[in-house]
This record gives sequence, structure tokens and C-alpha cells, in this order.
Amino acid sequence: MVFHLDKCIGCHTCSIACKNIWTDRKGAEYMWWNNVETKPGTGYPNKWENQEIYKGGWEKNKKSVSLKGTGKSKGLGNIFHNPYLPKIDDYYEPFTYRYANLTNSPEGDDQPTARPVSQITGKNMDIKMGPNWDDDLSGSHDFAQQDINLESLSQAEKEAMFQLEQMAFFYLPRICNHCLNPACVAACPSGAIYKRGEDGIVLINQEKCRAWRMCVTACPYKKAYFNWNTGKSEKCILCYPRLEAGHAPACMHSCVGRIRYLGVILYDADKIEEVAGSSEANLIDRQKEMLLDPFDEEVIKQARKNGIADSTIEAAQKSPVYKWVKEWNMALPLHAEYRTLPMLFYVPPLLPVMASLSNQDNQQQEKIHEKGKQWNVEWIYDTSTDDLWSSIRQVRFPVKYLASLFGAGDERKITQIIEKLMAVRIYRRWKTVGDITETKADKTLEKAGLTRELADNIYRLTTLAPFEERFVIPPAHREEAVEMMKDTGVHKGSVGFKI
Amino acid sequence: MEHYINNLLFTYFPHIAMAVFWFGLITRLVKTNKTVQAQSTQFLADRKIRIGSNLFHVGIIMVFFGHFTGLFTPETVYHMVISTETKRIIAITLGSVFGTMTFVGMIILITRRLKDDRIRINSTFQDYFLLFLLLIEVGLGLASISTTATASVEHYASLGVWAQKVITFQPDAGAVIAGHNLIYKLHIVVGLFIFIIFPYTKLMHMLTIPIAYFFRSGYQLVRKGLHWK
Repeated sequence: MVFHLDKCIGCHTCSIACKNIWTDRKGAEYMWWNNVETKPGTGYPNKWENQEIYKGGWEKNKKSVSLKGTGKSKGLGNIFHNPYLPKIDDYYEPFTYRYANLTNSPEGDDQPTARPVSQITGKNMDIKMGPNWDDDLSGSHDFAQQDINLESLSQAEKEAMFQLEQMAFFYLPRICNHCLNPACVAACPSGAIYKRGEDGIVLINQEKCRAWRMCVTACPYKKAYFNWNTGKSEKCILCYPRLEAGHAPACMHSCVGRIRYLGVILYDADKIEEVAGSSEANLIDRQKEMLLDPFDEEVIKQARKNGIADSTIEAAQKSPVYKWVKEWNMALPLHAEYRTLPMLFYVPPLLPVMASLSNQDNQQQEKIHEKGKQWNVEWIYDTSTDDLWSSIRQVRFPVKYLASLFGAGDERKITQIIEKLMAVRIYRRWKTVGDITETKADKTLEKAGLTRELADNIYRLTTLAPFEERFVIPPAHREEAVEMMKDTGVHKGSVGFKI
Repeated sequence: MEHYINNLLFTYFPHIAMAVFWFGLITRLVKTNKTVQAQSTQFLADRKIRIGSNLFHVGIIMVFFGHFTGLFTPETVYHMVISTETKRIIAITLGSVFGTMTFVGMIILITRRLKDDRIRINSTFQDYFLLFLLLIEVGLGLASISTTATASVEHYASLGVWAQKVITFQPDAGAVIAGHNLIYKLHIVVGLFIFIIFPYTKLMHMLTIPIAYFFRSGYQLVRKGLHWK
């Protein structure tokens, strides 16, 4: 999976698509398997990235990694009460409105109102928190400024970020990462959580789950949720019923900005333990090394030997994810330092970083409408900067901040990608607008390590790619999946659902 | 008539209770395994539960094992290590400590359940009924301690004899404790009633101890295909 953050407009359509299909039930009202956060912000549940509070993910030990807050001995000690479990108030108390009041109220002098009621107690309530309460930096004093990723920034940098005219933000849509080294799986005492061998989807078996809630603690991304009504944990299922039928997951399918890509990645599972335990500086590189080249003869041979269908290998060769992550090196995992080896990669956002506030460029100023000039011109975005290198140095949005999200702290990882994104823009500007010279465009491409052909490909997959190029979903081979569970003879003559 | 009731309650009723218990336990495990669990309310209200839940659970588990070893170890076996008098002292000490822990824990949990809107409204009849029943049982147990301490050693030892006669199907089991204090008798009857309803309640959650977890790999569980190597 790849999410291209530069294209995310923060419309929450993905969240609603998911909510309508999967979590519109009692006990699941508060769950957003897909949610969109404004960054900087504390996210949902509040401060989920702060593992000092929630103790999610893995920590390095001598041999490889061990769970930070759960696992065999640590979990047993907290068996009757888990101090690291997020509470409903860390998410929000789910609410609805008494809509019926609007139509049933008797005639009177006052306008009827629909009062909010709690979906837990059914009583009237004051809404204090919601799943996207910090949307677009609202309440930034309580939310954005508490973002733990700001810790690496100096006081001056932080203050600069929150000057009204300087403020910038971007959106971070999140779903389950379907990690290669899932902490939730390792933490589940009942063994209810497993990774599907055929497509890597991490699922919770509702029949086996026994409300230990260890997965909620263990998942550093807080993407396993406890259903307080059924007493079972639930999480994103990557819409596997849709995938098996060849459809993209609902969040991806409905994405207005077309920011999402889905495809097959072949990887070397034997290396998981070793890679998860590598040093923080190497984590991302080592994880990328694990992902195998689907065109490599040796890889294809081994994949066939392991029983992977030719159609799956073919899908891996067409995978847009492989292109973003490996071929172009333009996508990074979120918080690799949690060591779960997440398989959702993000193309970091360019806009908040690059949009400089320049009033030195007279050419730009002349373009501004007379009315616009009444405003302080320093407030105007200038995304057409033709001096790439200086603007990276004078960024509005500290690269350090992005590095703590996507680079495990390494700024080079972010700037490399931003250079590429910018180079493609400059190259396209030469092609379409023409106010940049050809030599300049070529020079920027070269500096970013791209060729014209690569830039065209990146441009195509970013902007033009149709459905089949963004989602390359191999046939699910359900016949094999059935054989996994039972002797196929059992299914002879059976039709439809059996509940 | 008194003899008849005594025999019914303390010779036959234990067997009826055990029969229902095992029948229910097995059918529940086989037929509706996925419902074998207790709800968790920590997610909705985290106040006071750490102390309450830990006191109650640690207390009641120790009380359970205390009853088990205390009642079912034959005299000849424990006499090799300790005298009946010493055994009584141990039983009274541990019983008071863990019994009190359980009782205090329950009081904390009950007040929490009644005070917190979110939990009270989402509680079922079963939640209250079990709390009420267990509270009575623990209360009776604690109340019987003074009798155990003041009565004769033989009086105390005969409780174990009764239990052992019951599980070895001896028809004179009830007669052994016919003359005992009413508190003991109530404690036994309520206890057996808890055994009867056990398979049909959330008490079954104690069978979900994740033993296999401790022998499992610390990492992944992957559902593999038949043809994969």
C-alpha cells in the first residue's frame, strides 16, 4: 500500500466509506479503522504516537526484538488490569443526536433542537471530543502543539511553526499497516490474530478472541480496537471480501484525491526477525532490502517453488507499490522505529515544505490581483520556486518534523524524496507552462537523480493513472483458500452462506 | 425430616451440582466456545479498577486453591508434613488474608459498577446476580472463620473428611457435617449453586487461561496454504 500525501485533501471520504461498511454497529461506533489526521496534531486516539504512555510496538533486545508493553511475562503481570490500555476518552465518547425531536416536537415559540446523546449511556451529553477534533489545526494549543514529533525541534522552530501567518499542515490518512512483524499478533494470548499467508492481511478471529485487549496495547499505531459491546477486538480487514472479488478496499476505491495505491510485494519472510532488530538508522533501508525484485529470475523461481501462483507474480511485476517504494525510492513507512515493519508506505508531502512565502520575487508580485496586494504579500504561497536548493533550506515546515514521522529521524531520507517530487514539478512546468528553461528542467532532474523517462512515469502514476494501474489486485485463488481450511469434498453440493 | 434434608443437601446435592457442572461445561465449550469469556469494562471506565480487579482476582484465585488443597488432601497425606492443628492455623491465616482481599476487591468493583453511568447502564442482570452471589459466598466464608478458630480440631478436620467422602461417593458423607454450624452449611450450599450455574455464566472466563501462549513463538502466526512449502 502507498498513500501519496501530497494529493490528500483531507476530505475524510475514505473514513466514511469504511465506517458505513464496517463499523456502524453498537460497540464499534467509536472505531475508525480508517481515519485522517491533521499533522501536526495528536491524532486519534489522542497522543497515539507517544509510546511512553501506550507502550506499543517492539523494542530492541540483544537477539532481535521484544514487545514493549505486552508479551508473555509483561502481559501476565497485567492480566487483571492493563495500565497501558487506551480508554474510550482517549478516542472520544461516541454520540448521536435526538433527530426525532426535530419532527416530533409540538408547535411552540422555540426552534426544536436535536440534542446530542451518548451512544454508550443513551443520556444527554456535551460533546468534548471527536475523531477529527484537531482537523485543520483547530484547537492547536491542545492538539497540534502537543504533537510528540515536535520534540526533536528547537523552541524557535516550534514557535515559528505556530505563527498564524506561518502555519502549515498536511493530512495523514491512516489504516492498519498490515505489518510484516505485527506486534498485535505476537501479543494476542488467545492466538486469535494471524497474518493471512496468501495476501498478508492481518485479521482477528472473532471466534477465538477473548477480550484480553493486549493487541490494543501492542499495536503502536493503535489500529486494533476493542468493541466494548461484544468484548472482542476488531481491526481493519483491508476489505478482504472486496479484495477476493477483485475490488479495491472501500477506502481506496472511494478516495477522491486518488492518493492510494495497492499492489503485491514479494518479500523474504526469513529475514523478518533479523531486520526488525537492526539499528534504528538502518531499519528503513533493511526493510526495503527485504522487498524482492519481481523481475529477478532467481526470485521468480523461488516464488514458484514456494507455491505462489503465476498470476500473483505477474501482479507483483505490475505493482505500483513496488515502483514507489523500491524502484523510485519515494515512499517511506510511518514510524519505522516501532519495528513492526509496516507495509503501508507514504510519499511525504511536498506542499507544506516547499511553499515558500516570498515577496522578493517581483515577477510573482505582479501576478497578484490589486485586492490581494492589500494583504501582506508575504502571506502568499509561492510554489513555483525556480531555485530548488535554496527553498529547501528555507522551508516553512521543518524537514526534521517529517523525518520523525517517516524517516525514523533521518532528514536525508525526506529531502531526497522532496527533491525528486520538486524536480518532477519543475520538469512538468517546463513542459506545460514553459516559463522554465529546458536546461534548467534537465539539470534539476539530474540533481534529483531522475531521468526524463522516470519523471514521466512518476508523473503518470501520480496524476493520470487509472484504476487498474493504481490497484493491481491478483486473483484471490479462493479455491486454495478453501483447501486451507477443509477438505474440498466437504463443500460438495453446498451453496450460499451458512451461519 | 432434618436427617433427610441434611442428606439431600450434603450427600446428594453435591453430585447433582457436579453432574450439571460437567455437563454444562463440556456442552458450552463444544457448542458455543466463542462466548466463553468475560466482558471487560476497563475500556469504558478506568477508575479504581486496577486495585479492585487485582485484589479480587488474586484473592479469589488463592482462596480457590486453598479450598482445593485444604479439602481434598487426605489426613494421612498431610500428616506426613503437618499436624491438623498447624493446618488449621495455616488455613485460618491464609483464608483471612485472601478472603479479605477478595471481599474488599468486590466492594470496590461493585461500588464502581453502580456509580459509573457507562458501566451501570451497560451491565446485565447476570453481572449483578453473580456479584451478589459471590459477595454472599465470600461473606459467609469470612464469617465462618471465627467458628473454625474456636471449635475443636476434629470439627475442622471433618470438613475435609466430608469433601473426600463426597468425591468418593460414600453414602454417609452428609452425616459427617450434620452437626456443624449453619454458616458452613450455607457456605456449602451457595458454593454448590455457583458450581451449577458456572457453565452458563461469564464465570467460564477462567477457562481461557492462555497456556498455549507461553509455548508459542514470540513472533508471527501465519495461516499457511496447503501447497506451500
